[in-house]
Amino acid sequence: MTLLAPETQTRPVEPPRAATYLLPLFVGIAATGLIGFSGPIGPIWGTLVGLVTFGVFAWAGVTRHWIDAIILVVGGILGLSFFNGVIAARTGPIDFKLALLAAVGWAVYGAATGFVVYRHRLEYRPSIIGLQALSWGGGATIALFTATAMGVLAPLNARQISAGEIQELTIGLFVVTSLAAAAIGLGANLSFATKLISLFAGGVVLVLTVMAYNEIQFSTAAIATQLGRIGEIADDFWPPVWKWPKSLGQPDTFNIVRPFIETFQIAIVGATIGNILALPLAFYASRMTAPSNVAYRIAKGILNVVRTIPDLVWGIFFATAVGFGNPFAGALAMIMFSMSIMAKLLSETVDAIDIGPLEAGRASGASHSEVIQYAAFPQVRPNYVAYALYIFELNIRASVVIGFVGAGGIGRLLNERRNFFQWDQVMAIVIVIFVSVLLIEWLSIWARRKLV
Amino acid sequence: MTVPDLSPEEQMAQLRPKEPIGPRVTRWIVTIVVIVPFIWAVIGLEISPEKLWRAPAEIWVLLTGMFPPDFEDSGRIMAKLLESIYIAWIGTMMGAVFSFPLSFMAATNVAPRWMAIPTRAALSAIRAFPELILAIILIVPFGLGPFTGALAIGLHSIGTLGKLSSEVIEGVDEGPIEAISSAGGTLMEQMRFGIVPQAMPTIVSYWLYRFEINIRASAVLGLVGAGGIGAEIVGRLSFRADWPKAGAALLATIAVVLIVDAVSSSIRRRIITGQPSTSMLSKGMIAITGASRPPSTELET
Repeated sequence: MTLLAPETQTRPVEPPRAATYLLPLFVGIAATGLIGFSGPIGPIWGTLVGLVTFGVFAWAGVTRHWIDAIILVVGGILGLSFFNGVIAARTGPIDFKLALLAAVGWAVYGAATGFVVYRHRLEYRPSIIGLQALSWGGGATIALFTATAMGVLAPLNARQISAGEIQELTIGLFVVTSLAAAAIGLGANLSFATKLISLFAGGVVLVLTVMAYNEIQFSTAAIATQLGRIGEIADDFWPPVWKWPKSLGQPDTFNIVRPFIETFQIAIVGATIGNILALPLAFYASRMTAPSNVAYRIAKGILNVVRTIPDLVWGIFFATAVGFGNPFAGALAMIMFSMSIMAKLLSETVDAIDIGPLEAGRASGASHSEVIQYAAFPQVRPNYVAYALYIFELNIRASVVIGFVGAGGIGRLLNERRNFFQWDQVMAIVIVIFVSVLLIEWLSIWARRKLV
Repeated sequence: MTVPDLSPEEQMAQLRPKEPIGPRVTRWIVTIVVIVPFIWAVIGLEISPEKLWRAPAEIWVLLTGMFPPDFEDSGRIMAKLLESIYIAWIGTMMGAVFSFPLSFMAATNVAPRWMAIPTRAALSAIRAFPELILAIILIVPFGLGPFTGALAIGLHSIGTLGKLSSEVIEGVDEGPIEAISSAGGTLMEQMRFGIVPQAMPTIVSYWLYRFEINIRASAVLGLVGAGGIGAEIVGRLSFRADWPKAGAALLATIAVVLIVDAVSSSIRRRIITGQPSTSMLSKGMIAITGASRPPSTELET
């Protein structure tokens, strides 16, 4: 690539001063906003949102053309009127389906913004319009759903609906929905227009955080108060009580030992069988050693689904199937858990093995299983051992809590004591878990260092 | 170099490598180490052939009970799933914000030893509590609800993210840090301009990865009453008539986790390599947006 000759480099045209077009725009926005509190809500807010978007586009240097302003305002009026209509005509509380339907209005507006970006950024395909519609619509869906949860539009119960008490739309709902839809949608617009992906990322992070913060009623005040009375809380938990009667009228005994051993047994069974089952799956789930593309896809698919389900959900599933409180259920859950992790780790290692021995084996007429046994497996054997140890460590950690769902082990005891509000006994169990998890971690690190 | 004065036997002993323990012996030891505890565990758990024989049938009964799923109250399921995502998000944000300074304090190439060692110990102590156990302790002061779940996940994330990030910080190239300090940069400037630019992509990708894990964790926190989809699944599995609804909740959870995983891993790859990944998802994204050319190629001469 050659540098351009100096004389062909021209000075860029200086942009016009911001104030010349921003001032009338803001006056317009303010005026529409003032009328918006009394007039028909959909069109007014549509105009407002369209003008604000145009202002942002002008500021970002996307467009300053009056046609774009008209496109945006018309899109806004159409979209928000639809949104308003859906919400006002509802016969029940705002649920997910209704929120999706109402967000179609915002998607229409999103398409208008996408069209404006498409008009001015020639390198994009027309599909950017659809993507913009998606981001505005998605933002509005989440916003609408959260706005109900935040109490801007309180959910109605069945009695209120039958009595005909449908709530009026509030300005607050519009403000919240527009802001959230705009943060995601406008963020997407700008990051497409300016190619600054961080703008979009920042918008998404901000909106998600604010919504999540409201939704789960996060409160720093509660943390501060509870930290203040930490002494009272500690009184419940401290000192730990190690011995308690197994049932009423019996002498105090150490009841932790038996479930604790059971936890280890669950982990051992789960890790052993899981690691063995993972071996064939791992070789099927690697392009290097899979016998066919179909087998590869199937193995990969199974692994993805198994890995998606958390270990505790496996625990609930098997506990329901084979009986609550049965440690066998815990072992089954741990088998699935270890198998999925081992197969994933191992198949990724197999992907990186040297292909030479495999080709040599095939060339000399070895069958597929012989190639895997003599050419592929020896290359990953050290990794297999190291992973097996790691998975055993994970299994101990996981089997500690698996009992919560009725799958045996120390978790079951913990849950039982918790249900009796015996916090000092809970503390004793927690200490046992804490120490054993730490010990296993150190042991595992030490063993891996020795082996590898 | 001088050769030490050794007798021929000693020289031979040095030249010839030690004979390995016979592979047969190793194989026996490994077999015993694996098999014996396994048998002990199987006996301890009372896993009988009869139980094994019955298990597939019982699982089949449950599966046919759950599928086809019943999506009747999908609105509620979506609300609870959204709550799970929010819990995981706040937990991840907490973990990211608090672990970031802690990871500098725990990195031996930045912090002095007296600071790094206790910080490390604290981080690994936090990590030793599983989220669920943190949640049942935190329920006592903070009550039932998603707030407690978010706190539990946040605390656990501080431990794990702190460890991972401090390892990233320890692994950075020392050159830029030395250059800044020799040019008179303060410790703060060394961290800001010497470490952060090197470590940040990996650290951010760990945050995203943690978010994926936290989604799974928050999906089960409902078991102890800490919010999210978990309570829906458990509650409905206890009544046989509700099994199809439990199936719907389970399917929805799997779908959400898969989607979050796919999006997050494609973003992670983009952060680490600076280029769109070759996965199906990102190819689709490129096909939609049409943005395909990485900007850096123009600068090559």
